[in-house]
Amino acid sequence: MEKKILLVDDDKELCELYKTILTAEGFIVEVADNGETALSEIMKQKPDLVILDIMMPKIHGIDTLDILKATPETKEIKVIILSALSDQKMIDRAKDFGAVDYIVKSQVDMATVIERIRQALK
Amino acid sequence: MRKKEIKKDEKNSKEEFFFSDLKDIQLISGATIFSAVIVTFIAVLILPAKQVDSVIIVYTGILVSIFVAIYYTNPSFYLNPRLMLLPDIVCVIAIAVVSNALKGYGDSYIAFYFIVIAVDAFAFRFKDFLTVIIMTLVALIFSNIFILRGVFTINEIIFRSMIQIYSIIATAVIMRFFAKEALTERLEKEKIKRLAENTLSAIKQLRSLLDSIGDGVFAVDKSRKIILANTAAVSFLDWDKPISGKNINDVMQLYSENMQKIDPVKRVIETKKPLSSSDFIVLKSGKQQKYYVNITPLINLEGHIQGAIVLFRDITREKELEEQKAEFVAVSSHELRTPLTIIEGYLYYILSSKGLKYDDRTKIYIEKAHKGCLSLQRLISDLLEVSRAERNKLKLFLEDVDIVDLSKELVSEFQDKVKESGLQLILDVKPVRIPHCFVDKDRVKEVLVNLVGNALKFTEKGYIKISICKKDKYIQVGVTDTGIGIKKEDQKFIFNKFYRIEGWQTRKTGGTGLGLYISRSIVEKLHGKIWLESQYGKGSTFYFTLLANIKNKKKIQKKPKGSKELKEFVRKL
Repeated sequence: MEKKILLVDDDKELCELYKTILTAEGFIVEVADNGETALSEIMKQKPDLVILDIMMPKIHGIDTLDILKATPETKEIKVIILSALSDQKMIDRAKDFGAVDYIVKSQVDMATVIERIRQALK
Repeated sequence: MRKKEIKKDEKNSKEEFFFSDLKDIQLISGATIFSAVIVTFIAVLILPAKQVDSVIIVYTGILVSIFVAIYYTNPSFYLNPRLMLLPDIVCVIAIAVVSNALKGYGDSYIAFYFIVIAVDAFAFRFKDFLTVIIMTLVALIFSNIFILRGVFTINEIIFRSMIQIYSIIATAVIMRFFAKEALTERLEKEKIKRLAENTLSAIKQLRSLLDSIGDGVFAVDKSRKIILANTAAVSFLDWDKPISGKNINDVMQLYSENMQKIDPVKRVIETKKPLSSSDFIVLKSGKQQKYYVNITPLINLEGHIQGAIVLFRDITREKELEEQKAEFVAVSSHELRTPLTIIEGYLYYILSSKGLKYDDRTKIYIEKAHKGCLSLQRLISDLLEVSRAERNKLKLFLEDVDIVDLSKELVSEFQDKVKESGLQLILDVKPVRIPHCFVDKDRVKEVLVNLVGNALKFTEKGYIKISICKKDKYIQVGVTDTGIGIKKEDQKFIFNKFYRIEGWQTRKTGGTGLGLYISRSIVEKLHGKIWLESQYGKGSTFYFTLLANIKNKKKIQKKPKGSKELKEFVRKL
């Protein structure tokens, strides 16, 4: 069965890129542009994986993650953080809050990103 | 009015000078009289008894000696201008008596006295040769006038000459001695005067030096009262009242970052340890100003604390710039990374999807673009790391780390790459039990990855060896390769930023030239050392050390758990 991924990022171009590539890789991809819509989408869609940005308008990534993990229906959903923040402190924080992986934007190439998404979905 | 005052001053100073010299003069003239008395006694002993009334001479001599002893040992006598003529009167009487008693020899005695005066004058005035010559001449005329009359026998003339020569020599010797003393004393006085002048001008110079320092400087005593302040200190704080003697906290109250009143000067005086920080805040007309303050304990030669020196500078503007710079880096990191991800992502997509059609040439170009994009990404990551390290924001999360486990982890991660290039990666640990370190695990791993990665890049055949051993308080990690090695002239630059050994035309390897620079920053931040040993053509070993088993709890940064703290943290970023 095809895995469903929800991509949450406020950058439209970036969302389109990931949607194109991940669709080509055989995933079903939905997008949301902020934490608030993301939460309601997650409730509706029940995706297998959420790829979450940190610096977003309205509800910010780590808070979104916190709410997700605190809600019984959604706490099993895997979350990968995809952010431009490369601070080790932030990475530790995200992992403490239950993110399975933390990818720093442009620090790894696209091939690795896909590999890590597959890894998370195993 | 003014002129009169000046004249008065001159007079005073002259008088002062006169009296200070008077002492020397009087002491010398006393000695002169005394030596004259001694010569008289000798004369009595030598001269034929019948012709001389020796009892009178001896008594006169004794009386004069007693006078000399009383007068010249008592400053209230010899320094009293009213009594200044007393010795002269005594001498005149004594000479009259003695010369009378000497009968036929009286004239030579008077001559002797003139010689004494001559030498006396020579001794005090030093340069008054005219007096010396006149007096000597007078003395010679007196002593020899009777020779011309032809009253004396040859023996008497010989005796006369002897007494003249003797008295001149004896007096001269004694005078020289006293004059020398007087001279040295005077020279010493002048020396002291000059020294005082020099000290005064040195103090003035120091003062103007202190005042031309742009930073504020305070010196405080043990009770934190200001004993010295330079102009910059006074003007920094807009202080218009006298500042000396005030408590430093009344003049410059320091606050910590969370606006708590603090007293670091007290701490420095108590602990005797210097302190400096750029995080102090001073309230100036209601506004918060950021100050750099450096406090050094003032310790005297015996090792006792005397107070402290406080040096400070307003760095409000620098701090603002620093914050702006930090913000710029954070913003640009975000702004650069997103478009770069998009470029790299689409290039990857074009190259990987089978559906798209393009010719071989286009494929090569896209591959080149993709490669360039990847190195740009690496460069940006490294640059951010460098700028973070430079802003001293290379924050460490210290934990107990087993360096051997960490190396094993690394070896297994590198195994595939190593096999691919036909090399061997060996882990060499001695002794078997290596103590743990209290370090930042990810950072240390980063250093190891950098070193092993470099070794891999520059080695074509042979092996790469990670060796771990304990040396004193340190754990020493070495990464050895059998690669191309590094020339001596390159070795000292290798840890510099952006340093690449070869130009791009001969370079076969990728990289940004920042890896070793970052590694050095990390190792030094962890209080270790990093260095290399290399033989060109044979291979290199990079070493770094880490302190074993240090537990400095102050440095551990607690991981904030609550989301409030986190939000704040993100906002700071």
